[in-house]
Amino acid sequence: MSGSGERVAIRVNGQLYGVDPDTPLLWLLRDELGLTAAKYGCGDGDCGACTVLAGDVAVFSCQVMAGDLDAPVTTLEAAPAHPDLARIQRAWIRAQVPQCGYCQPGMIMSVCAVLRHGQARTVDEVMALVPNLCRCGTWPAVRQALGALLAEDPDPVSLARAGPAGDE
Amino acid sequence: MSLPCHFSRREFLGLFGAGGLALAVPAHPATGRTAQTGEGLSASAWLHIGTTDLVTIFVDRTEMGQGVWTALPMLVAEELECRFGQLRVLPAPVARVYRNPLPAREVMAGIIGGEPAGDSVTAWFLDRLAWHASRQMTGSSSSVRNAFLPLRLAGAVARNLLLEAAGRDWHIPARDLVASDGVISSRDGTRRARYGELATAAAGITPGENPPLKSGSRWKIIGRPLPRVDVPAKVRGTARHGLDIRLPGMLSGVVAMPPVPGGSLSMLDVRSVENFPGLVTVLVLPGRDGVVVVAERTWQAMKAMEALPLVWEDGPNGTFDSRTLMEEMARAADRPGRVIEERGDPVRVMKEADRRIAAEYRQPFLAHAAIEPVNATAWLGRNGILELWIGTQAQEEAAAAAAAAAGIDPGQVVLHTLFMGGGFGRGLETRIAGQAAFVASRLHRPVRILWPREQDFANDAFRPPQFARLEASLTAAGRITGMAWRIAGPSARRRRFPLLAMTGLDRSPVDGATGFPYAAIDHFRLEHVGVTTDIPLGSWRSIGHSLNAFARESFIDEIAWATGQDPVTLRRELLRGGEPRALAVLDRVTTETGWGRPLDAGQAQGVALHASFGTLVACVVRVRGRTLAELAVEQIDLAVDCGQVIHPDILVAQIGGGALFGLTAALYGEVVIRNGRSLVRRFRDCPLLSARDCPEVRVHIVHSNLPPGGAGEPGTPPAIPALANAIHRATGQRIRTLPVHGSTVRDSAAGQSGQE
Repeated sequence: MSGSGERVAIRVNGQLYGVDPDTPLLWLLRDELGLTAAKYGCGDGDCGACTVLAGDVAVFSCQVMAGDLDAPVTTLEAAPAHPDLARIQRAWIRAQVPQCGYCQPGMIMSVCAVLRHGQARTVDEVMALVPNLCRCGTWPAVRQALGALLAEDPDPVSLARAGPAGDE
Repeated sequence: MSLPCHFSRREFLGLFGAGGLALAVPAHPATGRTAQTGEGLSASAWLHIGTTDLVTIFVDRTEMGQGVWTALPMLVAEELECRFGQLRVLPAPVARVYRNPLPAREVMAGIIGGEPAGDSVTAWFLDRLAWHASRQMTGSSSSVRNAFLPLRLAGAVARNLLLEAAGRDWHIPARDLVASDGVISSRDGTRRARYGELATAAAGITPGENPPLKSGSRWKIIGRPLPRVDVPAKVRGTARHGLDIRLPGMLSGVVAMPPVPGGSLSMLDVRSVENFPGLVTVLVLPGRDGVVVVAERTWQAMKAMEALPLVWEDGPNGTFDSRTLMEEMARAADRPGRVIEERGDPVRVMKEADRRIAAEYRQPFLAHAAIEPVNATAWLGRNGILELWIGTQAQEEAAAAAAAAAGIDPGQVVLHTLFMGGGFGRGLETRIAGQAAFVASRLHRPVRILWPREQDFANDAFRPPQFARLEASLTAAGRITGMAWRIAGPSARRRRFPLLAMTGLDRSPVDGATGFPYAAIDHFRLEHVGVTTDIPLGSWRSIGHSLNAFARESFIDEIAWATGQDPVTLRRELLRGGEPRALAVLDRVTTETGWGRPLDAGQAQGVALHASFGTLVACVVRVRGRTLAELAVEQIDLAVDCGQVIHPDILVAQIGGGALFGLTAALYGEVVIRNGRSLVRRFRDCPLLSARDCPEVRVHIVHSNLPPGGAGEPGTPPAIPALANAIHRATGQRIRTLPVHGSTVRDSAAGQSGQE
């Protein structure tokens, strides 16, 4: 526990913040920065409800201490500034994916990372790389959304490289 | 069947009469506050039309992904004649008018041995009794069934009041006016007024008789796959679940409870955490049945809890072992039980049979394992009002638990229902409401408390375990002449309805075993042997149906196999003289899956049929793999007849999601309890069907104009035996003990007893 009040700088959604290095990123996002899209499901790194991006990599924010971050963080709230993230949201809405909604922010971030990485080219390949747990059984709708995304743009990597550009 | 079916004039006016704020969304008696509705027409507790044209619908059921947030407003909007997109949806407060009589009605029907004839005095009496005994709650797949009539009436009454108001103003009879798209107009279009312009005048008019409702052929909203109201917020991450509540000066609490249910705290030493950053206090819950660490921030509370030395006394359940209970249930099934249903003379037929087949089925405790952990936020103000923010399925019970814990009157509780991150029945438990209220009453600041994941698993109210024995008598030619079914298991409703469970009147252990669909079997007996355990039990998606569909549909399959009959052909024969809708869903699913056509090597299909909550589902599962180790579930097809479909995409999502819930449980679901302690502590102890392993899911709707049945639960029961039956065809292994794969934490010594 940091009793010394020592702070470390992290960048979240383009903004710099000074935070306690010994607090998991999840709780900093939720309780300090008011960014509540990333959810607490287990705190064990098992469920993925807390998934955010560190750089282009999906991380379980409950498992990352602020002091160990070495890349800027992107949360779901930043979607308007990230065309690839916003595109996933649009596909998610068209396919009406969420049921209870609790696992969805984390799942969308995981999918974003997989698509940015660019290796998975089919729905099955993407699904194999999404570690998030879902209890409601949204998988069939997720498959539908992924199918539409992959059909729309077989090269999602270029879209991610286009960078933040406001709403499409 | 939606209840109540007949409103007296007084009840009708009580529900739908206009008259301003008196019949508005109930103002809280203590605060005098209503939801923000402003001036206008409050034509019932479900609907408000503001002078600004804003139409507000109050949904009195909890949205947990099952779609009530959309389906219920659709019912109102259809009759109100406004565009669905112009609605605002708010959660209803807690009030008696929002009671849900359907689950109470079904429990009562179960007690008297079945649903009475619709026009009988018994039915009328049960309707009235259920109406008065019922509570505001969400569950038993009852929301749409219950709302189908009253919410359409709410829309129709308001529409007619607006027509009347316009008619009086324009001196044109209301019947010569048209309501459409939020506007009242004369037929020639010369006079027009928006609903908002008429709302105040309409508020002063008393409604006439029960208005006629539109016929289905004129529906513009019901039956359409409209975009769901809650989806955009859930995709943006702005939808508020319990832990997203933020209040000024709010504290965070983390709860630890005895590792053994019924245990208590015996030692606590706060000195080691006294100087922890942000720590506010450590509270012992009443009865010493838990400890709450409260801090400025959640992580600080978690760190302090981790460092806090706690010693627990196990109490009477410290020696409980789930294996021992299963053996006890198996032995209990050697004794005759309470006869639930009987026809013909099964004893004689069994004795005289040329051939007998018997099988035993064992099913474990199951966890709800919702991704959102149990939590609640409470604030006891200086005015003595307790506000509670909670994802709950039982609003009145949660408010009562909170009031009792805070030492105040239930009328002093204002409960705000939130979206639940997964319900599945666990929202009926109210322990968290009492805990939050207790802490709030000690601190007089808003406090949000949560059960960390391990506590959520350990303190679940589990799906009960069960042992069942089925026997069938057959002729030499293989025709079934009789069947006997004995179920040994505890009641899922004991905590909420102890009197029912104690008197043996609780039918939840035989849910789905009653109403045996195979009418062609002339001799049949169903018995239940009650078993008691102090391990907390509760309602889990489809309740007793999850247990009894597995046993029955597996057994029918075993008989088919033993007599060389196709399982679908056998079921068709057995359904003769029974419910034609059952045959229709069976036919549909077999057509859609090409049942009987040759499959690839290693592939096999299994079928199962089950009716629950007013809905019939036939399910075919296709697997691949010659051994359990290489088993893959490739596809699941479900044909569903739920009567009138309100929203087809919600139906598909719920039936498919329910089936996946059942599949996951069948493959992996098991809570093993040793020395009173659940061995499932983390999600890694409780494997769930992953994205990668998820089969293709296809739902086929059998359309009907009959009154709507439920959607949330009926997909779960048939998926389990359909899987087991497919596994048998693929691997030769008959699954009689669930789960198929067993838990990784189970002792290898325990083995897979009952598997052949």
